[in-house]
Amino acid sequence: MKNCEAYQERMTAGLAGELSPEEEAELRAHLEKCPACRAEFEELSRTWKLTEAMLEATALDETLPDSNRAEIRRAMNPRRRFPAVRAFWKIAAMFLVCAAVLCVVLLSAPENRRHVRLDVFQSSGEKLESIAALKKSSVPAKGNRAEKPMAPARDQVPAAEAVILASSAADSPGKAERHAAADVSKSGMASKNMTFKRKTCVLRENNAPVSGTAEETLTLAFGDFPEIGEKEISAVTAFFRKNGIRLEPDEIRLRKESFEIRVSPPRMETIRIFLRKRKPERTLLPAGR
Amino acid sequence: MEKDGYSEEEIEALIASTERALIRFAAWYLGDRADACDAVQSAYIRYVRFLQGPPPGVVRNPAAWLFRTTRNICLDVLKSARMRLTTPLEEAQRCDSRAAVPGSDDALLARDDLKLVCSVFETLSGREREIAVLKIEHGKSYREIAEITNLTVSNVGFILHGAMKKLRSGCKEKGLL
Repeated sequence: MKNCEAYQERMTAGLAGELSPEEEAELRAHLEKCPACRAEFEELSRTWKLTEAMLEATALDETLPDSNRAEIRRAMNPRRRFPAVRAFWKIAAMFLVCAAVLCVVLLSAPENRRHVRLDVFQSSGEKLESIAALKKSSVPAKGNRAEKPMAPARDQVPAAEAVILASSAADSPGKAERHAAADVSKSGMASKNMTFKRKTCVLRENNAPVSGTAEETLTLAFGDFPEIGEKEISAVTAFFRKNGIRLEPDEIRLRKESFEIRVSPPRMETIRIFLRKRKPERTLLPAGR
Repeated sequence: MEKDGYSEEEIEALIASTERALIRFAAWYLGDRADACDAVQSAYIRYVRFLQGPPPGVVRNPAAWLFRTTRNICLDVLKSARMRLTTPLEEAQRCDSRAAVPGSDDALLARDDLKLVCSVFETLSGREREIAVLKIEHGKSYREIAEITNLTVSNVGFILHGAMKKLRSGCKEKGLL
């Protein structure tokens, strides 16, 4: 009897197909020997079949309606929902990312990359008016600026000597540049058979003194000058001279696309202060204001 | 279309192979075809979202996963509706309605016998019925049933055996054996 109890649960497991081949063979062997267990197994087997038939007969045999299927498909393709809204957010996100990258690039510029822009206007002709002459000739009569173009004076600044506009653009270079460009268009210079081309000169400051010397350097790089030459140097030195800063020839070192100003720290400070104080409205060109 | 670890075709194939069983299973809990379809739909959507992540999920046995989820959804529905699985009165009605299913009579089971077996079945506890349905109707293995019902494999065997003993004695009493 004790032996039979051990097979009770195995009978159900055998009907459920959960026995290993060895266990099943063992159960069969016992059932052959034990008529009581065999009878019980037959009853259990019959009960199983009745229950299976009842469950089978009474169960639903349906598939999902189309409405339920549509919901599942929508879950599979979340992007199909509100495509226009999603596209809008996608574009907005791209703009945000671009703006963020731009901010990071602008704000992460090291201190020694801060620069002052010098806008240089260079003539394409052989001669260039002096700053003073330009100033005079391009100041039009009030209210009649367009009809009275400037008369180019012929005094005489060497060819390619340039008019330099300095603007303190370290804080708002874009604004200064726009302002300078507006000055050019208003000045009417281009109408006098002398085209002036604006060049950008970027002044990079090296904060650290030159090693082993008591000097500091400023690097003046011209944005779109293919090559810096003596004429650009002279234009810049003339500009500084006019503003009370004298640069000796040995204080300027020429490079291919830039030149360095190497002076003692106090003088460098003077130059820096001067450049930073320059305001767009103090440009040397008549602004028509 | 291949997506995060699954494809639409795979999901469609899974639905085709499991929807009938799941609807039957859910209807057994809820007793209503529309409710059962909604529960099964929710289970499929949960499955898709589980695969989508984040992080993208991995399901070893999708059918068992769906049965377990369907069961949980049905139990939530019953809980929220403050329903019990069945009451004695409901049992009789349910058996009547089941017996009224067209074509439910077969060679093995006469209409009256069907009602008797159904009434005996309804005397089982909720857990016993659940396991009996999963095993006898859906043919799930003990391991799968354990996964679906959060029981151990040995517990499943023990409960099923207890259910079978009750059914046998019930059928005997009703003169079915």
